[in-house]
Amino acid sequence: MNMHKYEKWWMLFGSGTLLIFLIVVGVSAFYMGSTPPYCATTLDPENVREHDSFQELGLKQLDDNEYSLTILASAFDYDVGNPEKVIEIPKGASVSIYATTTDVIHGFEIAGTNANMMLEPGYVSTNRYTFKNAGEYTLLCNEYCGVGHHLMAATIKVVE
Amino acid sequence: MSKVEQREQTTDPHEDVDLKGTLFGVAIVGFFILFSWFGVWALFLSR
Repeated sequence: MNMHKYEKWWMLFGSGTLLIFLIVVGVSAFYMGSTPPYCATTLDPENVREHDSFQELGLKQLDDNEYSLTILASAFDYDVGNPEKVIEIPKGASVSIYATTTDVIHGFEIAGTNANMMLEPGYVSTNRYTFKNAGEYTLLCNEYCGVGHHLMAATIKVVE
Repeated sequence: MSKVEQREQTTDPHEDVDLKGTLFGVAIVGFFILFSWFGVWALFLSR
């Protein structure tokens, strides 16, 4: 097949770029174990508060540096286990986040971090995040959920 | 039935075409994709 010299160049460039992207994605997924948020657990959205996983909301220490954070979202509120809506997390903690919603779809974004997922009724959205930097973060809803959408927020304090 | 005429290509007209502009255009798009991809990746790693 006759091909122009430049055509060969950009075909090589395109294939090479694709190869680099696939290697980076493959290494981060299979070697470094990074996964997107998932929602493998299902539950009855009308009886979330009766479900075993959502009896105790907020941060719970599991191991030395392992924590679980359970949050229940509803229009237009994040129930984090206390009325102040403040969660204190020690710096460097590896946190498994479990969250769901009792009504409509809500967002779950800890602004400025990779902890970002969608909460769907009937599913427990799960994500893992290590809080590397101390500071105050805002948990907010990034899926338009109704008239009080902008009021949905909670504070996460990462302390030394 | 008519016979399909097959012509032997003796010269490659492709080689004579000036594809410098196309190469330049493709390179701009390619590098834009490359840099933005690595930019987003760096942002992901830093957070």
